Amino acid sequence: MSGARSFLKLEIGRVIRDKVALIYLVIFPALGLLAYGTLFMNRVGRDYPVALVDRDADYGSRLVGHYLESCPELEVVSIVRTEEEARGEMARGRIMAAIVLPASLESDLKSRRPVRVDVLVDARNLVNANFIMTAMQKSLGFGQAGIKFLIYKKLAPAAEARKMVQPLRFRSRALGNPTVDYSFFILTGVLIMILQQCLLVGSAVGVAGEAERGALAGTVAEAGGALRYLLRRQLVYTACQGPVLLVILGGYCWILRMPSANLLPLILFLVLFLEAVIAFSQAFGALFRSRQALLQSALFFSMPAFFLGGYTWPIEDMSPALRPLAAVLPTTPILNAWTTLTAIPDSFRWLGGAYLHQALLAVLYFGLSWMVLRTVIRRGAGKKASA
Amino acid sequence: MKDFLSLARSEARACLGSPAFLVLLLAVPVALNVLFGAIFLPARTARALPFAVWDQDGSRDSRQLVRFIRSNPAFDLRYVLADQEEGRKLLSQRKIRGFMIIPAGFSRKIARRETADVVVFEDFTFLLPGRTLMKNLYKVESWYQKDRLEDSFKDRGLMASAGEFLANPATLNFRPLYNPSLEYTSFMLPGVLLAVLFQMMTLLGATSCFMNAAAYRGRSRASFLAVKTAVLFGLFLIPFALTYGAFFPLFGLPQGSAPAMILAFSVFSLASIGMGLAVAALAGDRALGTSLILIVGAVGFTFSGYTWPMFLFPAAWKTIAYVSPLTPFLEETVKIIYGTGFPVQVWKMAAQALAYLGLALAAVNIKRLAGGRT
Repeated sequence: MSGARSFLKLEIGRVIRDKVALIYLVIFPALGLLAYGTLFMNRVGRDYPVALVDRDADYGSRLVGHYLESCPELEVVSIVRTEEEARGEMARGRIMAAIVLPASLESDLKSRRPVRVDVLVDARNLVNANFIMTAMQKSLGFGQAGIKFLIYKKLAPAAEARKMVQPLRFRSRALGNPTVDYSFFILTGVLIMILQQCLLVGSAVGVAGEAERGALAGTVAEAGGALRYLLRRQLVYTACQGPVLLVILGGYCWILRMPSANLLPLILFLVLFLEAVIAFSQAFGALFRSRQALLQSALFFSMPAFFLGGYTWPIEDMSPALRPLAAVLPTTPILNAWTTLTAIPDSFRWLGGAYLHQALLAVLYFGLSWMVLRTVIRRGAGKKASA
Repeated sequence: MKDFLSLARSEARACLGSPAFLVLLLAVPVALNVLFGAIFLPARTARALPFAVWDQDGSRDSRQLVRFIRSNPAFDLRYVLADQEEGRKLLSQRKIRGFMIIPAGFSRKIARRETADVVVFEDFTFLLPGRTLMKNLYKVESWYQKDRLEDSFKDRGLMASAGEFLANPATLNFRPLYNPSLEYTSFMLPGVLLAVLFQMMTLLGATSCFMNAAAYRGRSRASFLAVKTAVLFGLFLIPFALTYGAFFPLFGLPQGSAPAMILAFSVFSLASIGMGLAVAALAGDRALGTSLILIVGAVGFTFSGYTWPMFLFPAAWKTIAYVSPLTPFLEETVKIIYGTGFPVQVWKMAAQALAYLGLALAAVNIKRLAGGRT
């Protein structure tokens, strides 16, 4: 017992003294939270610059301008006369969309000729295009419905006219993220990836560093075998990183004001995630004989893991061959469970499968790290003996 | 000149003789191109999102609505629910992306020409599925509206031409420019693949700072930098040619003007090499240098404004974002590949390249690098 305690003390001291590990385990997660928190502080897309191509310059076109201005997502930054001028503004990067009103908007409507309002949207960036089109649909679609209602009122009583305009109404309940908060969505994903990446590198550099110094076999023997060595390291990193994760979670919930339903079940999930990533990092670290090679490989891990986790692009739209790969990544269960846990009250009751998945990954990677470490040490000993 | 060429030969041999360098230069970009292709290519827009329905009405009209939903490629109607709790459970487990409750009395309202409400729960914790479902439900709504109006006008004995105007007095016609079918793949994949090149180039720039340094003993820092930059620049054209020249057309991604793209990439490549060399030279330590590059590479894509618009960044971040060569490169790339005809400005990247190479020149200490401090 005292041996284990002294090992733990020694390991914790080593983590604190190892600058690279310390930077990854403490400084980068905290900086990442602050940096990304401030980056997405606007939470939803607002004030997208748009132009109004007003060839009519009459009552109707002013009303359209008014509708657009009333929408917080849009800001009419210029009013021009031709579509070419609007495209020129777009080329200069001054606007992201333009509403082209026909030259005879009001007279056409009065003489019962259908009018078509073109909306040019710069769709190179789909996040922006989606925000803009949704906002346009809301603001101008409202006006469109108003025009219909005004016309139908002449054909039928007001109550009936309303029913004519709207025979079917989908009452949308945006479950989990009712304000369609972009920062909640993206910040959560990015934060999970930062935690994963920092923990992966911070923990794996220790194993790779020992291999680099040629001290790995000695340290493992000193600990009483590969299994004990790994168990103790697992414990050390849980002890070091647990409080950091709690502070990050606190910052996420209270400083960044993210939803915090099911806080205790979320902490339990985070612990399982922590164990899975530590176990994964031990297996990963044991594969390298230098810290440099490990760091180089780690660079190309986080982005594929993020996209494979199905966070930004639905997993059901990926190649089916990738699903098993996605399932064995330590971030996939938490990427899929975190937003549900934090945003939908009592949802933890239904997430037993996700908890089990995360726990199984922890066990799987622990077993894998044990196998890899034993192989590495056996091979090292074989080489020494043959030398 | 002779000296430069012999140094360049020795540098190229050192790079190509290192298996780790070759893996990062060729294998990693190819593998990641294939992987990202497998992620984004099977469906270019979100579709077949698993969906469920709870039909409390069980009438001909409600079944017709279900058929409508089923015929829309955005929906994959997988479950028939018995209650709302089951829907919430399936949604929490991500087995479905949304569900719909058709209330009892739905058909009665349709028959009486009243407004029939249908409640839809959409998964907005992940934005894309929620948005896709909502957009496609609007289409169903407008079909019902058109149908209802046609009936109403017929009842009132209105002529077909008048009915046409009354059904659509004002149409909002969205014209998405440069990505007209609003393909998520065409939007995301080019950025991701170019971000991989950026990560690879800065990393190899930093790594090469410590490689073959002994060959430069007694040479000036300028020649150290010039040779390394020239060799890396030449080598980086290979993964670029693979990505832009082979994988872009293979994946059906827009390419735009190749000369403009090659010019932009060349300047970007110099800036990335300069950044890698400068960071490594300042760190003076392989592990620390690589760690710093790891951070820049990991955050570069998010901070480039590729997904979240730059004008929404807080003021300080707008400046900091331009520390990374990826930011101006992606800004110019989306002008080129979509064939916008917008003026391409390479001066920002050129300024970055000069600044980073200047910084590297000031920071390089050949003696220390050749000493092999790791």
